[in-house]
Amino acid sequence: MPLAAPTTATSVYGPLAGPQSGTLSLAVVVLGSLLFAAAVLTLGYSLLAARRRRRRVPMRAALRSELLDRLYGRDDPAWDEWVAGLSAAERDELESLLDVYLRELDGRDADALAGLGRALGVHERARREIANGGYWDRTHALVWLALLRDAPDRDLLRTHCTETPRERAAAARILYAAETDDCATTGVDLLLRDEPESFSVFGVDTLYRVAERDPSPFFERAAADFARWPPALQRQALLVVRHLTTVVGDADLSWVVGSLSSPDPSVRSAAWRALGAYGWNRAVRDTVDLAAIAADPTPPVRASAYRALGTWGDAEAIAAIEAAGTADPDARARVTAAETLVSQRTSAEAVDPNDPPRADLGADRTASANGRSVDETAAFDVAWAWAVEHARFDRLARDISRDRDRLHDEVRG
Amino acid sequence: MTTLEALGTTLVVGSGVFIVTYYLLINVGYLLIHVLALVQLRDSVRESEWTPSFRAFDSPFYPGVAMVVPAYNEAASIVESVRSMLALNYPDQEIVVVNDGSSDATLERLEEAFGLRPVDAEVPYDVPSEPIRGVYRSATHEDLLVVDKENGGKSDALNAGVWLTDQELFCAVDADTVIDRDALLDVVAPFLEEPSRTVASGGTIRVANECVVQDGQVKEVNLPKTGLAGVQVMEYLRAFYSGRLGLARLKGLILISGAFGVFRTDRVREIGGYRHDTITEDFDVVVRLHEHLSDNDVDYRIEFVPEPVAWTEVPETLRTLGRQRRRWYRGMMETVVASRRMFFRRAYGRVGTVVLPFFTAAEALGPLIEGFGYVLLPLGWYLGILNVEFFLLFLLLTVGAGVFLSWFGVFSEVWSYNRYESPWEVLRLLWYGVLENFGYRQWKTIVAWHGLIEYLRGDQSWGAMERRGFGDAGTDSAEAAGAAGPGVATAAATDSEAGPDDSASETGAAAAAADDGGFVWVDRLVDASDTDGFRWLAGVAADESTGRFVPSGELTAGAGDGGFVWTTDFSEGVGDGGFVWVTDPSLGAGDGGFVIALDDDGSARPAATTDFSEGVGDGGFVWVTDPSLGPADGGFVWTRDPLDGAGDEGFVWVLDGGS
Repeated sequence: MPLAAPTTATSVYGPLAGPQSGTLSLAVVVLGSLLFAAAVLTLGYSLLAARRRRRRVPMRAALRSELLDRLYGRDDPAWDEWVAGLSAAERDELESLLDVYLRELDGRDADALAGLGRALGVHERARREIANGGYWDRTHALVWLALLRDAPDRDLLRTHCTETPRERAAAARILYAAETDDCATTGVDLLLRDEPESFSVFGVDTLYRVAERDPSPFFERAAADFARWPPALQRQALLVVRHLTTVVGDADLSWVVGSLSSPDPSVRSAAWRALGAYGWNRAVRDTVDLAAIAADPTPPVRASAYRALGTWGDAEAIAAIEAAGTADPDARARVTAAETLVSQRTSAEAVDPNDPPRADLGADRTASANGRSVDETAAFDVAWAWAVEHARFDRLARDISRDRDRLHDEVRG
Repeated sequence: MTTLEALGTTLVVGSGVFIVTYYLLINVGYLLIHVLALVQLRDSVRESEWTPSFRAFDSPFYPGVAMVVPAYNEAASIVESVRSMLALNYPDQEIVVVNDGSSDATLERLEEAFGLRPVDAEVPYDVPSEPIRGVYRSATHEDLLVVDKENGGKSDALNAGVWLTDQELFCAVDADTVIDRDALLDVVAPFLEEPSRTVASGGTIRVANECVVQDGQVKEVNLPKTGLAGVQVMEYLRAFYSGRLGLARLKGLILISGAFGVFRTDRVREIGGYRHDTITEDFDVVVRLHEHLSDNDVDYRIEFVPEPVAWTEVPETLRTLGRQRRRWYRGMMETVVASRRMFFRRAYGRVGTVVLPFFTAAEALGPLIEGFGYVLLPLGWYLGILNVEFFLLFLLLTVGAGVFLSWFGVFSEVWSYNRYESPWEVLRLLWYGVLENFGYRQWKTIVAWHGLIEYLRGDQSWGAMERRGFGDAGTDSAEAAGAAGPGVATAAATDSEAGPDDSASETGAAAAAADDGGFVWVDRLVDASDTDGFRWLAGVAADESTGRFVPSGELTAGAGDGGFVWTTDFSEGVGDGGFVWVTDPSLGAGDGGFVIALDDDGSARPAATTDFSEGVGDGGFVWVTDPSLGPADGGFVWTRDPLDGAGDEGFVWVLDGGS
């Protein structure tokens, strides 16, 4: 931005002199130096990067070819012998390739690649970095050990890897990946000991994986500590419960049921979704007040309740959805109730878009018979028709059977 | 020296001192933001290099994302765009295309390509948008939903998509934006890292001109050949790798590009969705999210992720670029004024106390003050009070500071993701950083003043965006409108403008529907004062007003806020087409057009008809998007600026009985 005028009256009528001119000259010199440095740095980086690419691209291709040949083309890959003959740059590039393939491969291939990691010294280096490295070195090392399925000493993990949720998750992940016997006990301990914070999606996934191995340690920890956890972590624990497929037997689920009364609506919502998996458990069900669903002031909580009841799927649950869902004042909750009820019907023929279920109406299908307004009934009819239509499209898109053509014709009209 | 001279001198000198001080403070602020950006970039690079040992597609915990794609007259490219989005790497994704009352075959193309069928049910939600004409599902792609609605503009279309998805997150994306295959996985990273706190996340927009695009993906990154586009590349780098990263470091990101940004669906619904009465809806929605979440004492974060990249085409002519930047400026002013209650209030954190005031001072007022300086300069010289030595020294410093900030952005790119691999291209980028200070920067101050005037006049138009199209999906069409983002120079800068929509409603003479009907003058359509103009309606009788065209150099003199000018380049107008003279009415949109009819008193008026033999001459005017369809390779486009046309005046419509 140029100036229209000088900065002081004294400089108006004559050339600059003295300190002012000197200051400006100094500024020019400083700025010029900065510009020079910026240009040199930028171009220097660019040239270096280009040179590196020129060298690394063919190197990587050759290493990949050799790696795959040794992995699949030979009985003995002889990793040590190969690695010993590589330059530092080649070893660096090979580590990068190893990272890529370890993420893609499982089973014997992954076991064989772990040998390459050992030859490259990754195992030992990772342990050193966990013990002595900074945050980034440590978290990278934890990932390496998980990829290599190489569980280090538990004390090393407990001592150095519980400061942040990320480190906790990365440490527990190693135990899961290495399929250690103490995966669930130590994994849950690493994740939830002391004062845990909420996790990233990676952390939640790790908690879920270790709990899948053996849910008992997780349920025991949650039963003991759940109330002390922050709401975000409570939600995540409930999310894990929702997805668990391993039978929990006689695990204490009182904390899950208790969460239905949480002051945080997102926790209540998560609790309902979690309970969806326990419809078979009469002891749990008996503690749940289905009549209270309609009284919850938060529509997403009611919607979650409808979904949970739909997962239960028995007559009592369906009746509860029909009682609350068909008269729900919120459009999205109504649609969820309708979707849940539609999903209970098994075939397209059984679902009539013009015949939505009515709660407790019996043979007398008049709105006033149930004390329900015509508006409420009409609103649910709209939600029902919407749900039926979308269910048809969902079935069609998912169907790979011989019925697909019929469904296709049906949808296309 | 007389008293008057002394007063003038004092004024000029005082103004000069003010401008210098202002400029220095702003540049110090910019420098701090750029330094913060470098720190943030270092952290972002480290973060992106840490990939946890799990597979996204195996995890049931990834949040679902709906790609909400507003589409207005995107027939040429919409199928390719949707296919490209369906191919993005993401475990739980839905595509919601919102056809915003397109007058071309956008919907038909989608129907054919994806086996769309109407959902035979009423929409059960109260959607804050123009009426929805229909919802379509695909017989082959479960995750594709198409919403067909009346035209209402980009914000309106986005709202329809946001209300009709059940996904936890939605990604606002322009139909003609090219998104890197893994970009969606990357841009949701903040939501993965802090699922309960993150409410929005934005990615980087880069310039696609001259890049090689195949199968909906950028295969080869090249710098544009023209200087204007090249300077914009440098601007985008500076804006994203310096401005937004720095603001993100300050926890004060106030702008997420409308071409590629992810939001928590429920949070955007809580604030009522996108506002209809703003032309930079992406800027506005982020500021309102800050306001709403702070008001409710919610612990939240809004993040910028530098690596996920979406590519957009930038204007290659000054006229189109000026139109775009004027729109951005107006939108920025709208949002700044609308959010004025947040200024200097600690309740709004750094957004209220630092970011918005600085942004306003630097981006809204800065160019205006700079432009004022350019006026003072010759005045000072004329008055004989310009100290040449001082001026030259300071010019060197100011240009030097500008160049340094630009080079900072280029350095950040080279140091981090290094998409421009050739050192030669990097050198060119550095050169653009120098070049923009000579002419381009001064031109932008004129644009800012022009934008301010338009804002004060209440101009709401989006203007036309001329595009050449990408690679195999090239559109070669001049599209009405779209887009997002205030952006202006360094701190907040440029965004997509790629975008569909806000189409007919703001394009005045545009929007020809495919139905039978005629062109009629409609005064104050749908309560929006800027939508007056000729509209193709199914029933000509919908309008009873009569009038006549008169030539004028002032296009606001007639009814409406513009008029028609003759041009061979339809992108000059604010619509996506114009009227050309033809003898065959079927050449235009719809079945008819306008003939010149003579009244009894000899005056001429346009008359809507499907029979061109009814008028004077052997033809009539029809609405087309291709000017070459007319015998003179040109036609009349609707505009507010008479200089947009071949001459210096145009035709305005004067209602009978009016002046």
